[in-house]
Amino acid sequence: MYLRPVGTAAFDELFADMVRSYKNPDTEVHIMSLKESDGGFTHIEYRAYEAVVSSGIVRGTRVASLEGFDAVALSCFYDTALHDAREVSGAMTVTAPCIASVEIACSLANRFGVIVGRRKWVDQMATTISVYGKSEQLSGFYHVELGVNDFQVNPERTERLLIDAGRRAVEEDYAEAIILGCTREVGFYQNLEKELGVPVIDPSIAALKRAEYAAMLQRQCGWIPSRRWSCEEPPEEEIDRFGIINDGDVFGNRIIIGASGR
Amino acid sequence: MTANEPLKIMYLNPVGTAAYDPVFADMAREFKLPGTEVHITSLKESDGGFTHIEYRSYEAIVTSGIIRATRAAALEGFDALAIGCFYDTALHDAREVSGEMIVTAPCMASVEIACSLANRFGIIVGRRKWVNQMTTTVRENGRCGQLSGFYHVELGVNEFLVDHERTERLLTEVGRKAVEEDYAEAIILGCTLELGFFRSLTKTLGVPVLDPSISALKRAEYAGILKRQCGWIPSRKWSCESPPEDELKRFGIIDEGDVFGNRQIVEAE
Repeated sequence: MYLRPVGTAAFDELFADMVRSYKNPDTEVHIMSLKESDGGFTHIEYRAYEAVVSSGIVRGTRVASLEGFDAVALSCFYDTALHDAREVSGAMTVTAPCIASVEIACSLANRFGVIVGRRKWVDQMATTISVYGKSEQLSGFYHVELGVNDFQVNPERTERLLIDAGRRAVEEDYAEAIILGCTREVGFYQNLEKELGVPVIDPSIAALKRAEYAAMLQRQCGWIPSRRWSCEEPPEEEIDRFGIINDGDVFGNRIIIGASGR
Repeated sequence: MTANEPLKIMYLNPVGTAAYDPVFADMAREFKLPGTEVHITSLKESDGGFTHIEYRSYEAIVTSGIIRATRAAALEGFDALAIGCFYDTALHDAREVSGEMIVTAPCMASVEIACSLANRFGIIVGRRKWVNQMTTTVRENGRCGQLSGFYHVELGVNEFLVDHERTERLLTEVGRKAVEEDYAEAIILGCTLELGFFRSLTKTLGVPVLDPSISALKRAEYAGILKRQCGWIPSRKWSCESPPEDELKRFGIIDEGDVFGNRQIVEAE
């Protein structure tokens, strides 16, 4: 499941196209977004917005687990509610764009830069990368002062801004790879790679592929999430008693990409 | 190379004996994807008949073979190469000459997986001797904060497969210590020859137990898929710069002769 933690289906089709291009042939992917009635967020650039949609992420993860998905990719580069979602994922692995991109970048280069939309995001993303133990490999964050909803408005302008920021990262701060720090920077990485001459990681694709990898490890090796100590999940009877987590349908939209690309 | 051609992965045992190649070929056969071709290789006995590389001094010597093997694999068109030692021996050196091929290794691969399944992991090693160096490797991978500790059973690399029952008993004992006393939530087996134990240990310990050989193989496949489908290949900028081709030719050795002592091919299905 590719879970978009926003309350609009407006860009679901954009991500469905990404999935069609990059998933393995045998993988079935459900692109999901949350209900507008639970908050019509078109982005979650603010911590306050994240705090509200986290409820939908936890409930969406729980549903995916009960439906028997192998893995969930959360689709925001803040890796919003990753650890919260993991608590209720059962035998399903949960991943997210920042961790997935950082892992790939560090397998291809010793130092990477992250191109973000707005400077607003940097404080929180720096903490996330620090939690993943990769701050020393980070050349810096490079902002283009576009909001999440601006990236796809004028692709030519966006590409020019991303290239400028990428050049700063590579030529001035010695980045050896670039991560695009927003899932809506989708569609730009290949041209940027040509222009910048270093690997450019698209975080949406990275999260999708990391989820597939996790599913493969689960199916072939039996490696499922730990439930010991800090990984303990809430008791089932308590989840039933408290309600909400299992109540009603959390999704506002669902696009299914079949295993053979149907 | 077309998208339909099999993914080509090399699993390189950095030792000077073919004795363990069949064990790793069996592992590859069981765990690879159907469309993957895996070559299990080891180095020449004449370049040092190492049956293990527990010592830094041994590693220093086989590193030459790792570099030459990586270069050979890159020139042969492999998609990815896994170095089969939990020291992640010569990982960064090998990456320098890997061209468009991705190089991975058991420690980094296992740590990545462990951190996706748990918040805290312990590593079961053979001998205490290994811990100092492996701590540095885990630190370099940024995950010391998640490490509950190293747990040694005082078995050398060549002893793990001698008496399966005894090894399993020893691994179980220290695994319990890691989980129950130090609150590990996942276990990594810290030697590629701790092979064949992860499933029963998972059942006994009740936490995910990661086999580092399988982890390295699967991480290499994942890298190969990312290369084929997304075009993500190693950076060659700044510290990732490769040595100049003309210099490689002039200095010799790296491209000379056959570095492999043995090669066992597990075909794509």
